[in-house]
This record gives sequence, structure tokens and C-alpha cells, in this order.
Amino acid sequence: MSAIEVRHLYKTFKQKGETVEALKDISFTVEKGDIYGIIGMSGAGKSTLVRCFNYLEKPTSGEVYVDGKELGSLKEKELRAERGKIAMIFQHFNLLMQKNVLDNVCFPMQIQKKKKSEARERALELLRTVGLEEKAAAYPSQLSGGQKQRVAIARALACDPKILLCDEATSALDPQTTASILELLKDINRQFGITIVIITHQMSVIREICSHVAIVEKGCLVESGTVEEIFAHPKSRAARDIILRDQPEGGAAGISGSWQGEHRQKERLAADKKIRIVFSENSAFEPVIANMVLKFGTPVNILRADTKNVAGVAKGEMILGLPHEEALQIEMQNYLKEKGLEIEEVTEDVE
Amino acid sequence: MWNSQIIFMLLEGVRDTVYMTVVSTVLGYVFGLPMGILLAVTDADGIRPNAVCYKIFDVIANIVRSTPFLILLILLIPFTRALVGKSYGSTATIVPLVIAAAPYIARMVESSIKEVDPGVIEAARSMGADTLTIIVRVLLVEARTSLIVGSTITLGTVLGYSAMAGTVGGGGLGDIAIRYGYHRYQTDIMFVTVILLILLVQIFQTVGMKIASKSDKRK
Repeated sequence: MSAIEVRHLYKTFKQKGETVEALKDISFTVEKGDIYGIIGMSGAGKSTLVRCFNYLEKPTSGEVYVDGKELGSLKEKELRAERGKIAMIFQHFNLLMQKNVLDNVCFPMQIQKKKKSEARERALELLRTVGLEEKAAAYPSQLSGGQKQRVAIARALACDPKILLCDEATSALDPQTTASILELLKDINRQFGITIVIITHQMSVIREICSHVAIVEKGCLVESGTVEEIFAHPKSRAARDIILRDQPEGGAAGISGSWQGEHRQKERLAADKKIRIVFSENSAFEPVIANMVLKFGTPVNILRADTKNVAGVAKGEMILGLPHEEALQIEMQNYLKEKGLEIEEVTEDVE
Repeated sequence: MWNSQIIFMLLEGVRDTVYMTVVSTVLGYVFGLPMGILLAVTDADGIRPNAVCYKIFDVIANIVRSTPFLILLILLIPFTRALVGKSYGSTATIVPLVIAAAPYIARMVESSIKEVDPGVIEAARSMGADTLTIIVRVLLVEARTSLIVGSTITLGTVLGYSAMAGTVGGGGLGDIAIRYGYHRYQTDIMFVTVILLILLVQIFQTVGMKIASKSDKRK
């Protein structure tokens, strides 16, 4: 049985007489133990999608199965009981600001009517897990962003959930804190076998911890599969866009800082015929590009080169601008294919 | 003329005013707090929207709030007499004071609750909390500081209303101010009552704000 299965999900909002289709025919499956990333630009509908997994948003049509149970068929009370097994963490942490850390972690156990003494004991144990036991008496306002998210994670784990939904959980954090929170999520996935669904707009988050990824664009699921697969062979324009934009060290600062440069690079990318090469681990031994240039006696333009750590495997990516002569282009592509490289043409998706 | 009799009368006035203000405010909250919660919860963007319920309480609050207190006071005389047995004196004044204060309090409570971060409410919903749990454990807890500030403001307003009730024999400092200051032209007594009223408001305000700021864990 899969952890989450979504079938033909639609969600439309009516705002001032206008109908907005937030989700359009989304179907996919999250298996138990997966760390499943859902990526898309803001406004793509991913937050709405994740809220359908615990019915905080009721889909307009379609089914959501969690642990084999169709959420839409549950009564209000059963649904609330089911939500206890699906924990959620948020971009802005959403802690009770007037309650201290310990009470915040006890909160879901209170809702599930657990005994007070048991709840306190479990809360302290969880705070140890997230490394914040000495902050039990502190109030959220006295904590840093990363610490708040740790408290939120401890709170999420309080009722032994089967699934943890993360809604942009690291988007308000700096890169270092992001890394430590992702590390913690990875540990939780391994230690407790909790299925994790991560909503993000940062490709670095997907690369860092996800096993699977789904790409959402304008309310549609455009592509899904293992992270390795999608990185190596992005089929959709949206996937290529996201991978192309992905900075080695992620981070919004990096992107805005290099905007000028990136803009220029895009202009250049638009000029020639371009191909995208993905190196797997065994192809890095031979200097393929150098040999090709020597063989054909014509230089190629390296527009972008990058290595990325995708799910623990080093992947190289390169975008080459080929010479204008068409015959030569074909020959070069054939040469690269011969050498066992995965290549594809980069065309309309570079703006 | 500053004999012990007048001083005693003024002290009694202070006692009556505090009695009317505090009891009316407390009773006002007995009705106003649930009403305010209902307004906030059943509003279109509340946690349990219910247009009919919202409209009913919304209209009630507006009707009472748009009636000037002095008119309300007079309108309610038969009701007050039926309830307390007489229509003058400080205990009788509590009846119209509560009726005037309740919708005012409801609006205060409504706006305090609407200030609560929707994210926290969503988090509670994601944990499987029902509406009552969200009200008791999230809304009232997170809005605590704002609710205390609101009750401080309410105390001041009710104190002002209670003084107004003096015009129709309401008892307390307002009554003294009107009887001596207005009807008998004893301006000095009126001055003293006004100063006492100012002092009372100052005390309520200072104490209320202290408690509010002490209860706030956001800083």
C-alpha cells in the first residue's frame, strides 16, 4: 500500500465571481519511506496540493488515499483522527507564540487527548531528538528561525505520524540552517521510517534529500519520477527550466546576485545551437570534449558547466554551443553519443 | 462645607462607581465574550463560517451599539424594574450597563481573535483539532494580550457610561457630580468627582496595560 495516492485531483477556487483552477488532473503516488519533493514556481499550486493530502483543502474532485483510506469518504471526526497521523511543518513555523517550547510540543498530544505527564515526557524526548532540550522553557520569540523549525519538527513528530508534510519548510532559513534542517529530516526519515513530502521552490532542497520529485506548473503535474531520472533526462520544459536555473549552492541570494550575469548568459544561449550533456560517474575519465575538439579541429563554446550531487551520485552537466555548420553539428553529436554520453538539444526552453 | 459627610459621600461614590464598572464589565464579558467568539468564528473567513449565525449577532451588535447609551438607559427602565425591582441606584444601573457593554465587548473580542495568525490556526487544524479546541487552546491563548488590552479599554468606557447614568439617578460619582455640581451649582464638588473619575481611569488603564504586557510572551 502506498503512503499517499492521488487520483485525478482538481481544485478550483471561486474569487469574486472568477474561477481559478489551482489544480488540474493531478495523479501520482508517494511510496512508504520516500522523501518526495514537489517543486514549482510560486503560484504553481503546490501548497494547495499538499493541503489536499490532509484535506486542509478539500479537492473539488478526485481522490486522495492516505494509507489506503480515501480522505473524501471520511466523516469530520474520522478525518480529524486521520490528520493526527499526517504531521505538517510550515514556512513560518506556526508555533503558539504565547506558549513555551515544551507546551508547543505537547500541543498535538493534548489534541489527541494524551495524558499530561506522558505528553511532557515524550515532548522532552523529542526535544532531545532535535537537539533543543535546554530550550524547553523558552518562548518561540526567543529562538532563531532554525530553532523554531526544530521545535515545529519535534511537535510534528509528537503523535508518531506516518507522513510528514513540509510546506516550504526551509524557505525562510539561511543556507546553513537549511542544510541542518534537511539533515534532521533525513535522519527522521531513516530513523522512524516516516514518509516525507517536501514542497519547495528550491532545487537545492530536492537535490539534497529527495528520492523522488514531481514538478508542478500552473496547476498541472508536468513530470514525476526519481530525482536521478529527472535530473538526467528532464522531459518537460518546466523541468529543464528548473534544472537550468538551479544554482550549485541554491539560495535565493545567489540567484538575485547573479541575475545580470545569468541574463547575459541566457542571451548568449539563445544565439547558437546548443546541446546539453549529462555525465554519469564513469564518463569523466576520458577528456571527451577536448578529444572532440581535437578530432574535428573546430572549437565548441562551453556555455555552462556544473557538477551536482544528485542523491549522493556526482552528476556533471554541460551546455555546449556547437559550430554553425550543420553537418559538423551532427557529427559531433554522434561522436558524443558514441562515447556513451547522454545528450539532448536545448532549444526553446532557454529564454 | 468639606465636612466628613461630604467626604464620606464621595468615598461612597467611588465605591459605587467601581462596583458598577467592574460588575458590569464582568457580566458584560459573560455575554460579550461568547458573542465575540461566535462573530469571529462564524464570519466568512472564520474557522467555521456560518452566514446566518454571523448576520444575526452582527445585527444585534449594531442595533445596541447604535443606540445612544442615555436613550438605552431610559428605554430599558421597565426591563430593569422587572429584573431588579427598581430603576434607580447603582445595582439597577448595572442592567443597562451590561446590555450596552456586551456588544461593545463582542466587537473587541472579535477583532482580537481576528488578529491571531491564520498559520497557527492552520497548524492546529493539521493536527486534527476540532473547532472548540481551536477556540480554547489557540484563539483565546494567542489573543490573550489583545483581549486584556480590550478589557482595559472596556473598563474605561463602562466607567464613562456609569457616570452618564448619574443623570437618571444611577448612583456613583456621576450621580454626585450631577446632583451637586449641576443642580446645586457646587462646582468644587463636581471638580473633585471629575478628578476622582480621572484617577480611576488612570488606575484601570495602568494596571490593565501592566498585566497585558506581562502576559505577552512575544517579546
